[in-house]
Parts: sequence; C-alpha cells; structure tokens
Amino acid sequence: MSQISFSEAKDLVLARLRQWLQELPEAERGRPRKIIDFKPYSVLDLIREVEMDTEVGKKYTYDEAKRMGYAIV
Amino acid sequence: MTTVLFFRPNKDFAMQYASYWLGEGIPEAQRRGYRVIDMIEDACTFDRLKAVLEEEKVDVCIMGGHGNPTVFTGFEQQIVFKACQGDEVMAGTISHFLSCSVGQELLPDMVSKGAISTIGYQVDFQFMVNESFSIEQDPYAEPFKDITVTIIKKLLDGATLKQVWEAGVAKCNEWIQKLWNKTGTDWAEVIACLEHDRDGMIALGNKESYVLPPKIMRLTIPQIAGLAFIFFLVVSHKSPQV
Repeated sequence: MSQISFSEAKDLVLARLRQWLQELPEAERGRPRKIIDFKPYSVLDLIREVEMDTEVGKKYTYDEAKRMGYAIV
Repeated sequence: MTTVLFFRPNKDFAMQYASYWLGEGIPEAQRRGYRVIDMIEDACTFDRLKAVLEEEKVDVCIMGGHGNPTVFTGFEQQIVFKACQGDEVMAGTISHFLSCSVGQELLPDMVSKGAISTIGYQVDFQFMVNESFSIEQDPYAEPFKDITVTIIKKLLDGATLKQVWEAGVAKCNEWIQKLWNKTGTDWAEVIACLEHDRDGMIALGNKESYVLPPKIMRLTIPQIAGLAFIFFLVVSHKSPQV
C-alpha cells in the first residue's frame, strides 16, 4: 500500500468526486446519492464535506484513499 | 408460538429504505409460521419495546434505527438504548440490528446482559440510492435490501449465528462479483458500500445459537387427496340411510 499525505489524498478524492459529478445529469447532482450513517448525501454534498474537512468528509477521504490503495500518513 | 418482532421507525429519508427492507422480512416470517409483532413509526420507542418484551416471549428481534457506538434510536430519533442502558430488555433474544456502529459497544454490552446472539454493524452502514426510482425498485439500493433480507431469512430458517453471518458476507460478495463489470462511478460506489458494510458486519454471542422455527404441517397433493378421501368416507358413513 503506497503512502500519501492527507492533503494529497484529499486532492485525489476531490478529483474523483468531480469526475463523478460530471457523469451525472445536472438534475441529479444535488439529489441524495450516497447514504452514510443513514444520512443522505448528494455528490455536491460530498464535495462540500471533503472540502470543508468535516468529520464525514475526513472519513470519506480516509475510506476512499484506502480503497484506492493508499495509506494516509 | 415462536415470535419475531420487527422494529421499523421510518420517518426520515434513509430510514424509509431500511424500514421497507425489514418489512420484506414480515411475509417471510409469516410463511414460516412465526407470530409477527410489527412495531412501526411512533410505536418505535423504548417504553413500547420494553412493554412488549416484558409482556410477550419474543424470540427474534429485527431492529432498524439510527445508531452510533453507544446509542440506538427509534421514532424521530428518540433514544431506545443509550450508553448501554436499557439494552437488558433484549435478554433472551436473537437479533439483527440494521443500524450504524452499534456493533462497537452497544451490541457487545447487550450480549453481556443476556441477549443470546446478535448480528449488526461495527461501522456506519452505507448504501446508495437513486431517487429516480421508487424505494421498492431502486436498483442501487437493491443489493443492500437483498443482504438484509438474506440475513433475516437465514435467522428465521433456524441457521446458527455463524451461518447467518456467513450468509450475509457471502451475499455481499455475490453482489460485488455481479456488479464488478458495471461501468460508471455510481456502481463503483455501490461496490465500495458493499465492501464497507461486509467488512463491518459483526456477529456476537453464542455462535452455535439459533431460533427454532415453528413447525408447519405441509401436505403434498397425494396426502391432501388421501385426507379428502378419508373425510368423504367418514361423512358418507355417517349419512342417514334412506
């Protein structure tokens, strides 16, 4: 597993989220897509959470980095 | 009679999915001859749950609700079990919790207070939705419903805790494999959620425990024909001769 900093992981995750956003029709971008902790998040919400370093955003960054084969150091 | 209790608060967006998935277990329970207690919406409070569990012998509890490591909530997110208080009412039951993170502290505490066994999640439960579809037909939510219903059916069939957990994990893997070649980030996220939930699924308590399913007499067609013939003979024998 490669090691990256949190800030690098955040950039990767945001790039992936923006790519996801582009795949969606405009009407879908603000609509709930992913349920985390039984709370609904649209892709735009997720971008906001990651950008603002909220608890959900940080957790999402850690999970996504792990899934992409990176360990945050 | 073997009794199964469903606890399904469904007032918010995400919980409506959970409530529907758990509800799919009700006909499965009825088909197997269980007596069903279905607690929904405002019935999903600690007081009501406690009253039911004290009044009746409930063998299986299928629980949905918001959660964190130390709290499980019901209707309008009112606290049902908090910081490991109140969970003693679950003593003697086998349960499934569709709730986030309760597997970290609450479920182990519940088992230490006499719950026979339980299966739940030690992570935040994640799933995907597509609002263009109804809850019942949402293709992104379908794998998560299937996993939940698989766990419920396996419990009701009298499988051991270990077998139930294995069936839940196997169903996650089956869906991951099925969706692997789908393109698009939506499906990649569905797979990510499945992996996340699978890795966070936890079974606690006696791993050989199981619920004894009710016995239902099922007759084959020749048996029914035979019984009808005997009935006919008896009735015709009793008929007054003219």
